[in-house]
Amino acid sequence: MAKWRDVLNINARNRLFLILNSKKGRRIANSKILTKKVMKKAGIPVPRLYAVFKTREQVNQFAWEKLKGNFVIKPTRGYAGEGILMIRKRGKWAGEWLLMDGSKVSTADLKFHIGDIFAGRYSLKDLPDKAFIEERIKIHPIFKKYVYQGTPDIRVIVFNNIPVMAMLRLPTAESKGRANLHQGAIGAGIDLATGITTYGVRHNRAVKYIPHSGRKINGLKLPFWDEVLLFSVKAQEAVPRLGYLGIDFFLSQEKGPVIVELNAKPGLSIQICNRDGLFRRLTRVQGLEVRSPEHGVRIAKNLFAERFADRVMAEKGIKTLKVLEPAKIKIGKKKWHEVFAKIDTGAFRSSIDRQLVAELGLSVKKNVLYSRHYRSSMGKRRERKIIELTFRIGGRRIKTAVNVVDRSHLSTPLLIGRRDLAGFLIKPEPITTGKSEVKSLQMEKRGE
Amino acid sequence: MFFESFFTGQFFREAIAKAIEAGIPVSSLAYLLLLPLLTSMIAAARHLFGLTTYGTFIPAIISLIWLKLGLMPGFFLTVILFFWARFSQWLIKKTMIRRFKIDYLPRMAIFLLFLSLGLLVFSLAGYLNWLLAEQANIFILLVLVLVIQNLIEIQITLTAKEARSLVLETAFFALLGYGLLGWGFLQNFVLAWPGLSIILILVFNIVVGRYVGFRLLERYRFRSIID
Repeated sequence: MAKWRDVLNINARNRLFLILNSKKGRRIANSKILTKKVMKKAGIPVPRLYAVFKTREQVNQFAWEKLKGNFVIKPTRGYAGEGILMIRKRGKWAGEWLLMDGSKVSTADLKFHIGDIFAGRYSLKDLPDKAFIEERIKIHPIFKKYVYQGTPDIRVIVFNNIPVMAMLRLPTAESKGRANLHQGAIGAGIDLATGITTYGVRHNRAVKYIPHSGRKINGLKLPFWDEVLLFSVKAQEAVPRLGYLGIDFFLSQEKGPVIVELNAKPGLSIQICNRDGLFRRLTRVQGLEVRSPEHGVRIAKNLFAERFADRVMAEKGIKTLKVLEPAKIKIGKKKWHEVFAKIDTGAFRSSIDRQLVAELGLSVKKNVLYSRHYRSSMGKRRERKIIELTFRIGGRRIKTAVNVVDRSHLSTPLLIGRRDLAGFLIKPEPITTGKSEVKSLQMEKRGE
Repeated sequence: MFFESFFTGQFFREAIAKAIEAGIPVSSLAYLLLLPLLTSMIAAARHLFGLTTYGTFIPAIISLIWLKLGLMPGFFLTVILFFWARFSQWLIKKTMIRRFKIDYLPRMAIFLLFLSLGLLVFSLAGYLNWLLAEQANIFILLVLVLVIQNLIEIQITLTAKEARSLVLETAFFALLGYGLLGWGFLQNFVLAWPGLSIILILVFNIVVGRYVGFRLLERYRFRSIID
């Protein structure tokens, strides 16, 4: 859930973020053919292009009989999924094609449709348009029970080379197979860390189940999630003129995620199905230094992970932590380092001692998410690193981002803040927590 | 000298006086200054309240037509023509696309032909002749036909719900425009204080344009994610 100040509204989006998208960048996003070219150059998978048509002669000269079915005819500047014709396979006779719903059309019908595209029927303001034919991406089997017709897609919003929010869009009968929330498709929020769907929304209202199949919308783990995040950062690197960018993916069982479209003006409903505000997330990552696409993905996963803790709690019962609690810090594959941690609900983020980080070898560059400046109590400008850390506490494994600070004068090298304490109860014992208490606990544990 | 008169509004007042002298109707001059006011209202409805507002052109033109024809005759003519247009569009879709495979722009031309035919049928009923004789010339009716064709064309790309809101909003802003442009007090005001009116419209739009907060309808849209 969010506060009003965290939510991005239309006026603020237009004023503060859309100005980051230059005319040149928008030109690429508005043309599906140009998008394809740029993405291909950057090594990002896209649906294969079979033909581009600019004139009627090209349409007539095209060797239609060589197509084997499984293709899509699209206008290059179409919007909201208008004017897209999907062909499943060849019909029984030559020049006959079967659409997705099994109805038959002839090659002449296809040419007529392309003529409509040329005349600008599907482009804004009747401007003449080009048409193209591309490979149809078959729906991934895991979505079969989730959509009635059409192909679901994944929308990722990327800002400053960091994915900030994502949703799965499931076409419905009402949306006529189009993955457009406006037309009645279902949007499902996605946890960036795991690629698991969270909340469903249809027509701005919360929904839990798919209408025709009764499937639960949340809890679906999307395949190829890491690639989706990685490609979305790479896509923005390929088009730096689009600073605030929505990227639409199809998932293909054979090819993995493919980019079908870039959107230079992504909508704001994504906030409703994620139950979180974009403004907070965007300001959170603004100005962070991203060293590589992998680094951008890691920042996103650590900053914007959903806390499933409340649901886990309901299933497993409530776990109680004392103020001093033994914890294990992960230092490699199957290697853990045991320490005592102090539980502090007064702190937001967890902190770890700088010296311990150095000893355990966790301060390598790969681990560092970003650095942040702060003013010390002496009024000096200091820099503090924030690293990725995995630890176990109270029988739970927590992967999170922690501050690296000097705790050498304190009783415990690890402090756990409330960001990582969701789903725990805290028992305020022992009441004093100096070095002697830690020592006696350690002796107790060793059985002395 | 010029700048002084420009900023005091003297310049505009003189220009208006000269125009009236030259025989331009007073109401036309008032419309010239009131049209930007109507557009500002539509802009504010979008920017502050979150109405969709499909452009300012159609409502503005419709309100001008109504002013010319009179509210009741103008309104009824628009409504009847609109439903006739919806019907012809449906008919064309059923016949021209499925059977004869006519291309898009010729199809639009046929659609326009249907609208003209509608007007002709109207004139047979005698209503139109009365209208034409009384208030209007044929150009106004032709503009009305073009506007309605435009409206229908936009509607094609929208969902049923959006199409409804388009029609309702267009009707609302056209009525608002009719009220504003036809209001004697406002007409007199802009003609008496042209400089002041221009500055007020400018300031209003600058204030509205710089607003980055929530639109009223967005408060409703996002209410479910607020705790």
